[in-house]
Amino acid sequence: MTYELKDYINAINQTKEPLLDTEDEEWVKKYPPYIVNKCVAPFSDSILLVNEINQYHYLDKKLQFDFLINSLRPRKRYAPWMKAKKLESLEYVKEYYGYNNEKAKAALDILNDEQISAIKERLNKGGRNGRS
Amino acid sequence: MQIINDSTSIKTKIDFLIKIGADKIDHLGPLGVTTGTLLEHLIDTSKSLRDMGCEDFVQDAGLFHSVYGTAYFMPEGGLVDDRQVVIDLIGKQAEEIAYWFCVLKAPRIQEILMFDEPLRGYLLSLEEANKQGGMMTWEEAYDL
Repeated sequence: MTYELKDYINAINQTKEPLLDTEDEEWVKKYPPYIVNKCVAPFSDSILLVNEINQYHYLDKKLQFDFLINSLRPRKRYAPWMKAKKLESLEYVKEYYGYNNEKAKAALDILNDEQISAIKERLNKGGRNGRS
Repeated sequence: MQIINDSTSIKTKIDFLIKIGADKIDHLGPLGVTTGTLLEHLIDTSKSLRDMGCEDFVQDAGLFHSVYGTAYFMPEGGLVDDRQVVIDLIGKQAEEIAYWFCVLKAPRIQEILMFDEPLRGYLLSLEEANKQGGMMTWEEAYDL
């Protein structure tokens, strides 16, 4: 069983699934209020609610989760930095230079968008998404 | 017997942190206020990870999460520069988590989400424990 951040975020934003109401106590133990607040905060319809619960950071995790799940309207909320664009670039850099994660990340920091696009183009193998 | 081994092991780890001066360095909270020594913060982080039900190696990573210096805390040259020393103490898995946590730039969450599971999950748990349930500041919330 995995208890991933995306499960909590999806439940709060969209599915409204009461994950912390199950018999599996790990859902409560592993709930990361600080990180969830950070992920849900940068939206105009959530900012005030997140600010509210952020001030009550000492409350039980379940109470914090319940507040968010029952207060936020269901909709998709994707912060720009949550998109996998950079991760995808990391994979390209790893493949292109034969680097491990560590080196690829260092390389990614100094490569500009143009250079990354050139790498992607060189690695393009055709097919629907260029990766097949 | 197991308990004795565990406590001996933890003592060795804490002795190492004391040896590199973690008990003499102040730890600053999000508002720039001293919250105690770095060593106290490291031990609290490890305890938080235990309370979150994290594995032993993740707790060890919590104990060593500033060992190379971090985005917020960077003594000149870092605290330790030999990764093998840390690997010998806490194992490769824990060291890798601690290493990445030190390497990541602030704000860390964006960076952590670039990793694949399970490392992403371990780092997120460590980030959460590092904050120790504290209140997020405006600066942290909106990367100001």
